Amino acid sequence: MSIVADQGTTSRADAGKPGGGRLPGDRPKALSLNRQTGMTIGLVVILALLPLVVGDSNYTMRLLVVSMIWGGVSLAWDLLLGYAGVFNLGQVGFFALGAYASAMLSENAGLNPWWGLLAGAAAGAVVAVLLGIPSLRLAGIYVALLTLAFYEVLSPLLTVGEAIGTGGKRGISPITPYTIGGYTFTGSNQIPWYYVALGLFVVCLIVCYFAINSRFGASFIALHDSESFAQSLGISRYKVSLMIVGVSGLLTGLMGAFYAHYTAVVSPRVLGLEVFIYLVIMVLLGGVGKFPGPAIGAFIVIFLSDWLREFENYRMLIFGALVVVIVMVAPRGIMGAVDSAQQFVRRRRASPATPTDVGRSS
Amino acid sequence: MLRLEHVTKHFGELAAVNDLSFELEEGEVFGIAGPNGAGKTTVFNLISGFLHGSGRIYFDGRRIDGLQPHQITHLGVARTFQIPQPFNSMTVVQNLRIGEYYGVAGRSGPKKDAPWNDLAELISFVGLEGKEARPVSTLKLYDKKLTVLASALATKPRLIMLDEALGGLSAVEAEQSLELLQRLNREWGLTIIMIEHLMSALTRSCDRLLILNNGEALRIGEPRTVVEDPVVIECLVGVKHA
Repeated sequence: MSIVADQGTTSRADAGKPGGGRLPGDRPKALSLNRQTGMTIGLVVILALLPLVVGDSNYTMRLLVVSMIWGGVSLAWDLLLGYAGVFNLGQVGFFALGAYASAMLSENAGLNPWWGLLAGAAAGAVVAVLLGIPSLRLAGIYVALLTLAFYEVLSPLLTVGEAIGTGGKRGISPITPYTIGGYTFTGSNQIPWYYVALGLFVVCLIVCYFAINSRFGASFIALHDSESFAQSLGISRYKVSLMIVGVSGLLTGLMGAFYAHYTAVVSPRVLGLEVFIYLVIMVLLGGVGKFPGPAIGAFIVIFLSDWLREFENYRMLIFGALVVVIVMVAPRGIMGAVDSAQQFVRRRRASPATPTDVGRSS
Repeated sequence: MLRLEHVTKHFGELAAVNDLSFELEEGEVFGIAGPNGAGKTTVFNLISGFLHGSGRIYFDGRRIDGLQPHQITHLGVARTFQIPQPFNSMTVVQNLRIGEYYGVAGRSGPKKDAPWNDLAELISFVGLEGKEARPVSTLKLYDKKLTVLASALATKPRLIMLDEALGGLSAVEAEQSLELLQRLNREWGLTIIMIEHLMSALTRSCDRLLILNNGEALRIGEPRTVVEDPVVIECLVGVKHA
C-alpha cells in the first residue's frame, strides 16, 4: 500500500544530515503544514473547545472520554499494523496490563493513582518488548500467532492471579480516582476527567506523529514498504521492530492505566472479544496507516455503538457487517477515501496529468 | 577482498549452491552467469546475509557468514535486487536518504570517504536529476533500478553486488547502465560483482567471469576464454539469447 500522497504533504525519509543540504523531495520539516498536521491540530482544538458546547451533558462527555482513550490505543496499534507492518494481535493485552498495573498499585500498595499512569505505561512497554524479543525474529504470521496466544492466556492468568491481587474473575473495583490538590475526581463532574484524557490523547498523537515523521519513522516505514531492500541499506529489522513495539506498548499501557481509574473497575472482561473487535473496526474505519485516521475511527465507533444500544445483542452483528462493508467499499478507511476524493479533484483540475501526479500508486 | 570457501546451501534436497569457492580482488569487476536456477541469486543472498549456509565467507579477512544483512552493509558491501522494490511510499531522495543514513550509522567497518560530496552529486552521477521529488511508485523500471542502485551507493560501499542490473531494460537503457557500472569501477574504484544474462555485457565489462551450473562453478576465468569454452557454450545455449 502507499502511505504517501504527494511530495510536500506526506513523506517519510530523513531530511538530510547536517551540512548535506536539503533537496527537492526531502521529507518536509516536522510540523510543516500539511493535511496530516492540520487534521491533528484541528482535532485537538475541537476537542479542547468541545466541553463549551457539550460540557453540560455528562453522558456525551463520557462518550468523548472513552473515545479519546480508545483513540489513543488505535493510534498506538496502527503504528504497528499500518506503519511498521508488525501484526500484533495482543494490543488489548497491553491495555489490560496497563490498567491492572495501575489499579493494583493504587489499591493493593496504596500508590497515588497519578503514579499509576507511569506504572501502566511502563508495564505496557516492558511486556510489549518482552513479547517482541522472541517473536519479532519470526516471520509476520508467527508474530500474529504468538501475540494472539499472549492475548488469549492473559485472561485466565489474571483470573487465577488472585493471590497476587488481580481480584480474580471479578477484577478490581472500586479503584481510587485521581485527586488534584484537595479535589477528588467524581463521576458527576466529567470536566476534569475529560481534560486529563485529552492530555493523554495528545501525548499519543504527538508521540505517533513524531514517530511517523522522523528518521526513526522512515526506517520502519522502509521496512514495511520493502523489507529486504531496507535491510540491504543497513536497517536492522529486529531492532527497529522492537523499538516501535515498545513505543506502542507504552502508549497503550498509559491509556489502560487511565481507563482503570476512570471506570473504577478493571476485570478480565476487558480482554473479551468485543473490545478487540471494536478496536479492529476503529483502525479499519479510520484507515490503516493513515494517521490520524484511526483516532477519528475511534470517535465514530464509540458514538455509533452508543446509538446502536437499543439493538442490544444485534449490535455486534451490525458491527460485523460494518467491517465487511468497510473492507469491500473503502479498504483504506475514511482517510483513504479522503485521499481518493482529493486526487480525483486534483486530477480533474490538472488534466492533462502532470508527471508529479500521484495516486496511481496504489 | 571477498573470499568464499566451500560455500554450500541446500533447499531441502536440492543443493542450490554446492561447494563454491572463489576470491575477489579489490577493484575487480567479477561477472556471474549461468542458466536460470543455477544459484546465482542464492550466492548473492549468502554473501549479503539474507541466507545462511555452510562454508565460510570472508570480507577483508573478516568472517561474515552468519552476520545479518544490515551488519554486512555496515562493513561496506551493498547490493541491488533482480526486481527493484524501492520504498514506494517515498520520493526518490527519501529512498536515498535511508541508505545515506542507515548504511553508515553504526558502521563497523572502515569508514570510507564517498567519491561524492552530497546526495545531489550522487543523483546526478547516476542520472536521476530532475526526478528527486518524484514518488518512486510513479517511476518507470529503469528509474526504479537507478533509485535502488543509488540508494545502495549512498551506503558508501566498497563492494557492490548487482543482480541483473540490465534485465528488463531497453537496449539504450542497458547501454547507459553498463556505462554507469564501468564508471563506478574506473572512476570510483568500486569492486563489482554482477549477475547478468547478457553475455556481451559481461565479456565487455568483466575482468573475470564465473559460470554457475546447478550451484557449482563450471568455469571461472578470463571472460573471452570462458565463453568460448565448449562446455560453457553447451551449458548456456538457449540461455544467452534469452
